[in-house]
Amino acid sequence: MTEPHDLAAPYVLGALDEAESARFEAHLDVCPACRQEVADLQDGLVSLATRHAEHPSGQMRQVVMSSIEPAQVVELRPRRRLLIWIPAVAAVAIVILGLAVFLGGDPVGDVLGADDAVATELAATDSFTGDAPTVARIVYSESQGAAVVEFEGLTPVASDQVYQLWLIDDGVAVPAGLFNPDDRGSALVLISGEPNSGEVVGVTAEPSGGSTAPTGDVLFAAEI
Amino acid sequence: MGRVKELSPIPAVPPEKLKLNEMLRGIAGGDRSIFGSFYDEMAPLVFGLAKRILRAPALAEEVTQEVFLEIWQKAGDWAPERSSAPAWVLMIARRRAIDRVRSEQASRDRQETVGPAMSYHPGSEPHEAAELEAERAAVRSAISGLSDNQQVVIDLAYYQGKTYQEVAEMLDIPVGTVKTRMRDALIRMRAHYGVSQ
Repeated sequence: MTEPHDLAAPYVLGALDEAESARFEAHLDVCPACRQEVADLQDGLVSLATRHAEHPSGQMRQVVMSSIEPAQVVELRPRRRLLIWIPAVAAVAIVILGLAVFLGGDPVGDVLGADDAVATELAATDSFTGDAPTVARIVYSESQGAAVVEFEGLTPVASDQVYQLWLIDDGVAVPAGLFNPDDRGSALVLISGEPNSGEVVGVTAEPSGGSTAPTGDVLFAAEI
Repeated sequence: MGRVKELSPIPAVPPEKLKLNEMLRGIAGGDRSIFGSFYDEMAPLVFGLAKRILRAPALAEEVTQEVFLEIWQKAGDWAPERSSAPAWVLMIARRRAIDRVRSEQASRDRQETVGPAMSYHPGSEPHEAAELEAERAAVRSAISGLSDNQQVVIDLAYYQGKTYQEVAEMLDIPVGTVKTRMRDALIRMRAHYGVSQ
């Protein structure tokens, strides 16, 4: 039988038949010297591979990334939209949301269910005079490129006002959606636009219909 | 036992490898964004290897795609004490590329009307023989720093999927010589680690 120690190089190059490869792996379990030898030779192989490195086509990345994501996320991304929950139309909204879920389009659920979803507390500022909400947070998923604002027990604004979300980057606030909590103070809102890690999300109270730039004080804020 | 490995100096290996190991651990945890970064780091190596083995960019792209799907699905099976992350990825890439060469060869054989014996020797056509020789020369010339003897051994074993005994038979040299050339070639490549980048 061959001395197992000289099999490290053929093993690393994949030049052992199956039986011999299995025997050598069993030997590796008991031979630290061979494990070190294999590690060194593997580095040689990686170095060899860098000689032939060549970029595949640009679309390849997209194909690969979409192959590891649940199909409906990719398919529905262009249809992502702002969900507005208004008490008066809550029933309608539930039907619409239910239909969206039925059709596989549930951008809010996709964010909340994403493997990389990260929740950050939305901190109330001194300008907020209502009762502290029981839940105030933003859930961000980098892979979905989307964020959801979630409130429970949020005091409603005056009847001629609406809560407005802003994406604030370098002091510039861009409108990111309107919402009103339902009669239990709950709201679940997909932030419109392209939220990115490091940007600040702010919440203000604005006249019904919203504003193009904040007119009220920031009531809640969090960095994504 | 792990300590022996840690204490041995590994001078020429860049911190890159450690970063890739960390990333592969993240992928095993299901992190899609790390997977994206890992793809960016490793795709050129995977595609380059697949293309070298398959010779057809379209097939190499298909294999590259399969390789990354397998990485995503099997990252949890990766045993860091057995191989570094890039070595593990290259192992998957080579296996899939060589499997693909064999299945392409098998389907060509089925379609051959002249019989399988011919198709095993594409070099029997003068034009193809010249082309094949030119390709092989291209492979050899691409691995700078290796002697011709070392390059032929690497070419047959690593890129063409022969066992070391088959290589010895083809070249009519002792198996011990084949093993030595293989080892010397890899050691020399390791000394060049990172130099080419």
